Amino acid sequence: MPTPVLEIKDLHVNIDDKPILKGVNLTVKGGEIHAVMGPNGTGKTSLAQTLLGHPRYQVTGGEVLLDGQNVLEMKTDARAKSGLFLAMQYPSEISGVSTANFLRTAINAKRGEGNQIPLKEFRDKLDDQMRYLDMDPKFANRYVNEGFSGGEKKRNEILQMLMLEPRIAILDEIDSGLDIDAIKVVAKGVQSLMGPEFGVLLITHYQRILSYLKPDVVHIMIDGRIVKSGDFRLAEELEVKGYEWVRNELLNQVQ
Amino acid sequence: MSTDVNWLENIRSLTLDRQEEPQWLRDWRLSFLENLADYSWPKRQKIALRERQLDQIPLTEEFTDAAVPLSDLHSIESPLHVVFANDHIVEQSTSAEAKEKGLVVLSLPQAALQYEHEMREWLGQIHSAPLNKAEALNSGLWDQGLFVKVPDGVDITDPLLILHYGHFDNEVTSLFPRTLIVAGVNSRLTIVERYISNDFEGKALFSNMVEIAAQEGSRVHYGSVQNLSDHMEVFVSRSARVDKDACVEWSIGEFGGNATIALDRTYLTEAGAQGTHTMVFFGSGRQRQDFDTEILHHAPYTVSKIVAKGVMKGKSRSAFHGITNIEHGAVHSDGRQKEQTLMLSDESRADAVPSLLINDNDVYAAHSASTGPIDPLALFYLMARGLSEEDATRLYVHGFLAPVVDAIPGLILRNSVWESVERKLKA
Repeated sequence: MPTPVLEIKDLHVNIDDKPILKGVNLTVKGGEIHAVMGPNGTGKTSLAQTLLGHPRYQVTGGEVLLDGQNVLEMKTDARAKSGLFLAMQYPSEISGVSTANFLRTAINAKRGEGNQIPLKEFRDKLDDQMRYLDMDPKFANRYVNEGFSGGEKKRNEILQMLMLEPRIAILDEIDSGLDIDAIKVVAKGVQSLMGPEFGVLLITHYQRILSYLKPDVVHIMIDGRIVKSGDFRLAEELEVKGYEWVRNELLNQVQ
Repeated sequence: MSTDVNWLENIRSLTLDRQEEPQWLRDWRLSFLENLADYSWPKRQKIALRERQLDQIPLTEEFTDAAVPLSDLHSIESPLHVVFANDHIVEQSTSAEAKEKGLVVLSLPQAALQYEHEMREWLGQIHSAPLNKAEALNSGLWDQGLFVKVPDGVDITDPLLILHYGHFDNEVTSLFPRTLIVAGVNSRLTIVERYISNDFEGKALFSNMVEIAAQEGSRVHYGSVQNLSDHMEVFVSRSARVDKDACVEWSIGEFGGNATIALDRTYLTEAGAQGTHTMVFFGSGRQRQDFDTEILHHAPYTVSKIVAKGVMKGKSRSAFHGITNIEHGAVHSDGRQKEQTLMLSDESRADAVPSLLINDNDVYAAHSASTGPIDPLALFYLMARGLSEEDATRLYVHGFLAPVVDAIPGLILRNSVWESVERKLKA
């Protein structure tokens, strides 16, 4: 597999005819971790959901390419099959479907007809990854996310990522609501996939998780645009000075 | 047709005169046919039956023989089974166990000769009045039907499987299967009926009746899976009488038919009687499904549960009416209901209407009902993991039905329901 390249070019997105993203430019390559930070309601989750084709978002302009392929023309499942993964901020509960059954169905959907994963291979892999993430083996038989705590849901998202081995993972506030031990586990999971064939777009409010997942690039998003990018020190600066500092800097630039 | 005097004469000579049945039974049948005009089709709020012109469907004058498709014959997975084609018994197998323990499995006319007492006591007696026209037609026109009797104290391990195959054509345009089950004191039986048909394009009428008499301390698990063609007008009437400390457990799957109207009645007649009614239904295309499931508590310490799960797609519509009726004197009774319907399309409709009629104090009764569309966020979630929309929907529907279907006793019945669900998902 070649190194993946996800290119977001001048992306404009509306919800109910209201502009949410107003020209986002961003490129994530295999081996890189990009962090997107910004205050609430600034369009970070909209960006994440749009990349996987959430029906609520209408793309009004721009392009998204994965290895040069037009992602926006693909249905959600085709995007997933081509290697995009979204760890959701609020994962859905699927009653009556066990986590193991769901994962096996998803892996087989990706592998395609006639190339189904043998049951034992699947079981072994699931056991290994759950152990790696410190998850109770009982989780495999519980219904997907039903009755899971916030932390369990996030861990389950990472488990799915490890099982599906995507090429570009978009992690939407994977750290929110997690205690420090859980954040370490999540970071460990992401690290285990890191390499030239895997890139990460990490959406977060806080600098905290970045101590465990050191970003190559930090982007600051305000009001539907990326207004500032830099290396990991930008996140540290932001932690000290707050988003107000970025806003003021922007205003100064305009004046 | 039904008002035509010639028609009745034809029926007499072609169908009824072929039967070797005692005079009392002949008279009983004719009492329905001669007064057909007194009966009316069931009145349903959600289905305009008048538009369907049910009286214009020609009634079968002679039930012709038909061959059951081999694939369906091969799907029978019990040494204890009966196969009907156009209401004629074409194959019957009795297990060594059933033979040894004295299980009786006969056509109704034969039973009338050999078990007159039971036939007179129960045939048409569990729910006797008022009958609707579909029930009256069935009562007059069933051809062979089935009589099952479990002797006192006998526990039959193998499920009794009954396959009803209807081969409809321009001659056979209506079928009237009928099953009477008498479970003796402290006996146990599981019975599974499957209804299938060829895909006849014309209009056809199917009216089916099932009666169960569960005597003291007996346990009957009755399963039924209906997969008739989607041109058929289907009427189903099932009733059970449950005596002291006996239990009747219904597991019903309704999948086929154009219009399906099913009336289910369970009478808990004596103290300690239990009745549970589990129904799974799945509508597609332009199907109309209308269900009345009623459990009547006549006696103290009786327990009932109604559980229904439905899935609607296309332009299908359903109405499920659950009625828990706790009569005066039925103290310390417990009646519960839970109904849920999932709609897979914007054009489908579903109503779930639970009623609790309570006429005494010191009882427990509870109900819940909900209908709603498939959760678009859940679909997005599943598709974001690479499942196609079809597969995501399938998984979601499986998850929706699993708690009810997986609780159905008996692997054969469970598999049959899951296969039916799978077929409807693809329909």
